[in-house]
Amino acid sequence: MLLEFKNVKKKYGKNVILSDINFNILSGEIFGLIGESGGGKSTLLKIIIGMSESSQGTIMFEGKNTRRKIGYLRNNTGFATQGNTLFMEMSIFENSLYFGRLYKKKKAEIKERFDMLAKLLGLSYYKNTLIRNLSGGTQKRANLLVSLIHSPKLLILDEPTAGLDPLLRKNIWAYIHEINKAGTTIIVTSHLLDEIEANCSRIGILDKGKIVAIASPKNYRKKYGTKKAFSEIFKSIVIKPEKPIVKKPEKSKLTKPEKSKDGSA
Amino acid sequence: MAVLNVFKKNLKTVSRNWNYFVVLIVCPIALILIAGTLLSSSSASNLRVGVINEDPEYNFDFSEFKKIKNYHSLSSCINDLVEETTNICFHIQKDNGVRQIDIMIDNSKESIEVYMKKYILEKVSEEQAVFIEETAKDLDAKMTLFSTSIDTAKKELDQVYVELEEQEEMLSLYHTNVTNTIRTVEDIEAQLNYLKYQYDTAAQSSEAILLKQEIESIKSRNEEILDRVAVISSIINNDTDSTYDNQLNYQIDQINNEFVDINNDLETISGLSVQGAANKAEVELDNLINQMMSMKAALYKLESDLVTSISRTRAAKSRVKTFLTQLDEARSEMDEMSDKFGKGRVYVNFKNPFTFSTDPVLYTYPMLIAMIIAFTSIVLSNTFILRQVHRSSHLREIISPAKDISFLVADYVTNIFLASVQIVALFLIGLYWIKVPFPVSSLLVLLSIFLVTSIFIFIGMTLGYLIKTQSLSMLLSIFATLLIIVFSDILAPTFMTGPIIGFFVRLNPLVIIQNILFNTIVLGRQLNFFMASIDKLVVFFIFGFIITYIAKKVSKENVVN
Repeated sequence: MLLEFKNVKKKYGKNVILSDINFNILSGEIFGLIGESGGGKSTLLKIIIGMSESSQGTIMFEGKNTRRKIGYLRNNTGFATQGNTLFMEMSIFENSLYFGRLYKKKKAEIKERFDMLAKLLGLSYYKNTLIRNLSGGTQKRANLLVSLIHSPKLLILDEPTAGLDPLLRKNIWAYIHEINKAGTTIIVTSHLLDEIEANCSRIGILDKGKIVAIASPKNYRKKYGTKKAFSEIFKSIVIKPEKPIVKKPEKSKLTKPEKSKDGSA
Repeated sequence: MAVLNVFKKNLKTVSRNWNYFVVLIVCPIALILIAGTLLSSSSASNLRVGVINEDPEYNFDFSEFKKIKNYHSLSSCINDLVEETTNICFHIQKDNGVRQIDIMIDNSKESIEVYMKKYILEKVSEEQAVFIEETAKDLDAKMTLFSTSIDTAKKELDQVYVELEEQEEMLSLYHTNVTNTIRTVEDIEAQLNYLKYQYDTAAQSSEAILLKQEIESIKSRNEEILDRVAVISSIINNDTDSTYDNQLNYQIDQINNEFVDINNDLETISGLSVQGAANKAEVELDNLINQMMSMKAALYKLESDLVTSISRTRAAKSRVKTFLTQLDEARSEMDEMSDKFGKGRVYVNFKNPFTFSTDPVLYTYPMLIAMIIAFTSIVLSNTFILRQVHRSSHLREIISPAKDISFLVADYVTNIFLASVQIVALFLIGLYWIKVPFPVSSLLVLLSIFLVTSIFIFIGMTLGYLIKTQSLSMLLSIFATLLIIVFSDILAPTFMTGPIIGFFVRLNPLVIIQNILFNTIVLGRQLNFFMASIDKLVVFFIFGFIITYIAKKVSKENVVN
């Protein structure tokens, strides 16, 4: 178990944003986190990446209590937002060097990691290209690369495929799986529920500040049938909350993406 | 290490953004060059002067002004004043011998008014001071001359007074002697009358013998008179200067001669026979008596003249005394006046205690530097922070484990570096254009510039962190700059403001740095610690850093929320 939330609460003044958050993230999995807007997703992600502290509860990372140890969480998590969070005037490598040093990595280490990730994400050719001169898709990959430059154990991807064409989305997911294969646990948020279902080993549903369901896509289908689109399943869970389906976590293993009919990832 | 890393990143992002580079570097330098050009062409000699001179004998020195226009009437000059084709009208006129200069200055422009009043006052004061000095010297010389003349006259009059006293004394002696002589002559006359009587009635023989005895007595008395007259004569003869004495001498001589004749007649009478002599003696006695009477009359006249002379001498003495007293008073008044004049003289000289170039560019150079430092430091640091905070990459920096203070210090160092580039550019322009030496010799000057620049940077950074809206933040930073400029001694000199306002104005970093630069660059002074107000600047620096750090934390919270 990589990350465990126990009775975590988050308040802003009198407003309770998150209440009784209890779930865990298994090492090596791709965990999908979905929920409606205003449901507390962003707040939960901020807590996970160390931007914000929880008001109550315990967050265990690799068995260590990270309450009031935000630095520990930050050092071990990477975050890639929907938009580009790199410096447009610098190249991918320069961005990697800069952010890697912020995580106190040495230049040689950063270079080695960069070469590996660049190869993985197909960015070797663009090493010294300024971000502003890259295409949108390439910028997204560059964003991913920099998010991983400090070898985080956990990578959080917020809407990684938003605004991309279907082909590019597929490519991005392929890279995500490659990264996962390389040993990084991934949490993904997205409004594209079909992609989540197709690519995640488990899916957690957050509604009104509570985790209302966590299960593998298979288990969701078992309960709700295979004919419905996952979005309908999601709606039915959210609108009519039932007893949360929380199955015992399976042993840690990488889940292979389901192959589409044409064989692409 | 994190600070260095962030600093390098900042330099890269700035240097690779041409727009930003132009705003940061090129614009301030252009501003400095334009300001320098403007100032170097600015001179009070460019003011347009209108002259209406109704007193051709008088020439006011307008040589300092390049544009002078002569008008026939005041109204035409004032018309041009309204239309701003003339800045000042000089109306020179003479009224009842008194020269008057009316000066109409365009007082809607305070700088012209202040400058012209200063210029005219200096010019007129110079002229008046020269005139007063020359007049004072003349008066001084004349009064010295008068004093000397009075002293000489007083001396002479003192001498005259002494002589008059001596003369009075002498005349009194004359008078006494003459009076005594008159008594004696009266006695002789009486004796002669008695002798005649005796001669007429007395017996020949015994009376002849008596007559002879009487004659001998008269002769003897005559001798006494002669002796006295001789004494009077010798006294008169000692004083040879007096013309009046010459008359007295003449009178005395006449009297002397009469007495000699009397003596001779008495001898004749004495030598004659009794009978024949008796008849002759009677005749001679009669003659003698007549002579005595005329002598007595002469002596009376002499006595009367002497009394008159003594009286006149006394009157003359009194007048001399009065005149001497008046001379003393006059001398005393002159001394008093001379003393008063010497003490009461007023010299007005405009002197410059400090020597420095009057080049307007050099004079305003410190103020220019201070204003540019203030403006660029506040506005550009604000712009820099706004760019940082509103970048999408800022989120990635926030979630990194690097501490906030590392980012703060790095951003501050970046801003200091960029400001330093401009300051160096400023001083290089000053060095090669205005020939102003770079004040590297003074560590305190460099430290002061560093501290003041830092304080302004902190202000800009704080506004950049705290104000979420970019446009509002920029506006506030410009407003802050204007406030700092207005609340300085640019509009009103510090030494003329009230104590409370003056206290706060003197705390203004802009005022501090301007004073420091003016003292070192223009006046060429060396600074000491307190003169440079380093202590205040250090306090502001620390305070500014703390405020900026708090602002950074607030900014991060805003981003996180």
